[in-house]
Amino acid sequence: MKLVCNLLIGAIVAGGIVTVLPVYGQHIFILVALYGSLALAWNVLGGMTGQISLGHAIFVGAGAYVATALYLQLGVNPWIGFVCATLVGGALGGSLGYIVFRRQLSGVFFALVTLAIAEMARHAVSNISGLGAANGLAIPPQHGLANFQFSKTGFCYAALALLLVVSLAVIAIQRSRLGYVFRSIRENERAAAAVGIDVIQGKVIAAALSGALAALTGPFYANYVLFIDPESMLGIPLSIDALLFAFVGGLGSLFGPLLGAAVLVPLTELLRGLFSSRFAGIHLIAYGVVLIVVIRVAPQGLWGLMADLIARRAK
Amino acid sequence: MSAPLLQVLGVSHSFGGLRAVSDVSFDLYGHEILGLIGPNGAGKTTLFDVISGFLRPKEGIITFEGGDITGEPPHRLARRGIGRTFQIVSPFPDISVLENVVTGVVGPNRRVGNVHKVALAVLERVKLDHRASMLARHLPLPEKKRLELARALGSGARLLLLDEVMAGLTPTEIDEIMTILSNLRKDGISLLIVEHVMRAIMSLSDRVVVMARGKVIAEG
Repeated sequence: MKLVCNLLIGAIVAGGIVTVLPVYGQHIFILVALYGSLALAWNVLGGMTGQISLGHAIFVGAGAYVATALYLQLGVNPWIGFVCATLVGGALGGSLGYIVFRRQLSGVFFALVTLAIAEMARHAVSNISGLGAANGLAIPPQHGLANFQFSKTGFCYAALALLLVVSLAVIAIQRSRLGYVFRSIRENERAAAAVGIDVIQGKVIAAALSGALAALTGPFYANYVLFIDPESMLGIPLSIDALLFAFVGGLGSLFGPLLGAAVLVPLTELLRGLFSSRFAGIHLIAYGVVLIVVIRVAPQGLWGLMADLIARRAK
Repeated sequence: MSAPLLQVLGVSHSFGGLRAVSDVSFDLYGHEILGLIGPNGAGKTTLFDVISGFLRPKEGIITFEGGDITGEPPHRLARRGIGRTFQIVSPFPDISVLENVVTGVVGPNRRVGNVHKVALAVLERVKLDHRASMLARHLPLPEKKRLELARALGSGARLLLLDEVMAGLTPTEIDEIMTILSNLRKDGISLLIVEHVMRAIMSLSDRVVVMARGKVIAEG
């Protein structure tokens, strides 16, 4: 209960802060919330259950393309698009998990399969003209709550709401029986099976939930930027971002991934603003440096480092 | 005598050309402690893996409470009430002692009232309640072994397969765990124990099965 209270207080404070942020600051806030949600979703499978995915872009992309295509082709309301995106993301995650995990493929194999499937999806979408092929799809601007298109400040609140939904979902998972099932699978599969846990079923459920939550970020991005293309929605960089934020923030912790996004996204934007004219892609080098430093100094992630420091201070 | 709780009938298992368990048969009755002894490489752990479903027997039949359980996967057997510990201790290292047992309690997916209360009660039975909030990885070896026992108990096991729970323990620690085990039997739990500590086996077990080179060579 305390955690949920803290979360709500944090959300209210953040809601207050965004009103005084400059427009560029609001943009970064939205990105942090968006990537934070994605990293939290990734963590359900990668951190809690210990099955590292290198292809979470496929869920984001699926969500974005499903909602956008439904809106553009059939005029389906974006809010319903969100629901469809989640369902598709969950089904995709579940079936992917079923195919891979049933064959006892874990670890490196799962990571490679996810990478391959996401890449296949990217190439496929790049060649489907109905989905805009490599040119992508543009959403005509039409402000209003019904169209899920807001002002900058409005999007800040929407992003906050998205983050809150994903956070509450993650807390609910962690505290349910599934939370114990997922963690036991991560810790020791044989021992988990020995206490009656269906390891394969557990992994499939984790993949489905992780996919469903990750898919929520797709339509949001699409409606915020009003443009999606295979490169940005299904590309490897997006998958790596999800994994990296979770890794830097701390795989073992519930909200480490959000912290990772909150540190790395502004850093990226800052570096891009400072050096993009001369050193394009410098943020990737920075990612590398941050990753090495975190692995050396705090292998349990920034969240673990923070918890350690607070505990030491308390003593 | 009533029907046996666990029946092992002509069970064999081999790894490639190596016949690790060969035509093994024995019965285990309710409220019984059965010792399983034999030299290293006799096939005791392989037999455990077969009974608990981690390995599928190449030949033979295993029944539990009268039902055929041959070849069922481990999580189903655990739900039926067969718990086990591992020779190489494997608690869930990065969660707390209490959470380890809670995982055992919720693992079989059955209705139990207050999960934490049940788990704490189990910890008391193995005298680990004072460690509840500690990370499992920080426990010393004897307590890790007791934690594994607690986790299996939490999952509602009526038959426990214990793979060398006393190995590496001091005589005092062995006495402690022996008290716990005989209390478990009083609570109606049957035990199949693999052990090299003869003192413990001899004083605890009702009967002993001796294995060598995959075969049962003596029983009684």
